[in-house]
Amino acid sequence: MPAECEFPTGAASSLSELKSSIDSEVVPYCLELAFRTGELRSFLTTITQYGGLNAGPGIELRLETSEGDVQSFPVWQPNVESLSTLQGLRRSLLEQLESWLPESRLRWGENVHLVDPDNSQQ
Amino acid sequence: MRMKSVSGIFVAAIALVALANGPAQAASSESGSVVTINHAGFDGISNSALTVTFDKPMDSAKLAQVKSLLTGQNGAPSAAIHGLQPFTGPQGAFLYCDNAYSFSDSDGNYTFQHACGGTTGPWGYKISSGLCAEIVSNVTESGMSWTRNGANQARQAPHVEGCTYQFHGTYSPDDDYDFITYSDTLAFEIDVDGDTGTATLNITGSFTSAGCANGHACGM
Repeated sequence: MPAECEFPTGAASSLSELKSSIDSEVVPYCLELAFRTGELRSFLTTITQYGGLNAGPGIELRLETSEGDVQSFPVWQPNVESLSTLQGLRRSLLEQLESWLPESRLRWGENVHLVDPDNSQQ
Repeated sequence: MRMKSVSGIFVAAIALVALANGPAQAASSESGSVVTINHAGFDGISNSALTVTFDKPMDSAKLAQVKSLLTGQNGAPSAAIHGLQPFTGPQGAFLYCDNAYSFSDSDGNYTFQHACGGTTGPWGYKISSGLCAEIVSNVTESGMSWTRNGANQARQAPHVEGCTYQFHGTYSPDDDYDFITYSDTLAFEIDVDGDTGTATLNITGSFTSAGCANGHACGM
């Protein structure tokens, strides 16, 4: 990971621009940490609509592993402070992957550690 | 590492929320094909609302029969709490740390625990065996949405599982005395004595994840 990481802060004005930034700065970083070559069949980020508390638009990642596991992960929602920085977005997604992978056929029962509690870069 | 805020992007995105949220819909508790069953848990800790939209309209007698089956009036357990009796605090019930709580009604069972001085709060939800017996599809969980001390937190991942699955997740961070509110929705297809339909089960609640100040809040 580069020592200095900058997220575009200019005139971005839409969810699609935010999604583009997530596609380039968040998703590849997390997936490269979580999966080895050949373990990921496909992945796609989409703009979606959430209900419940904090209802509204969001951005989620859907992936399929080589074992056929399919799972969606919320990547961003509005009004969530922890998701307002690149660091927070990466950490949130890594935490979800860390929690889900041991339940997948790909890594069933393994101890998966993706988030280093002492590493503030995530 | 130096990080720049992405606030410019988020402000614009947040503005879309207002456009996306339309006016509230009037709630219809029951009609010719819709049955809604609400359970209000102790001090609002664990509530559930089951709404079933049947494929075909029913007469009132049939609706009452179906509702009786779904509420477990034929031997299913009524609302119950397992664990140290929650303390009614100034902001929702206090759930004592180092205690495993379990709140049940005819729809299912919500569990929560928090270690004294810990930073997380594992939760679980399992659909009751009575309701599961009526489910004829996988269960799609939307993903737990929650707040901590009034601030929105990152939504948790959704799951698609069988109705016997122990849905679970972790409120993180969850420090001593954090006030938690939560909401999750489970969607599935149902068959009640040949009457088929679609159902949503919304679970909600709020509580204080209590610490152990002076040995009082932890129930000593």
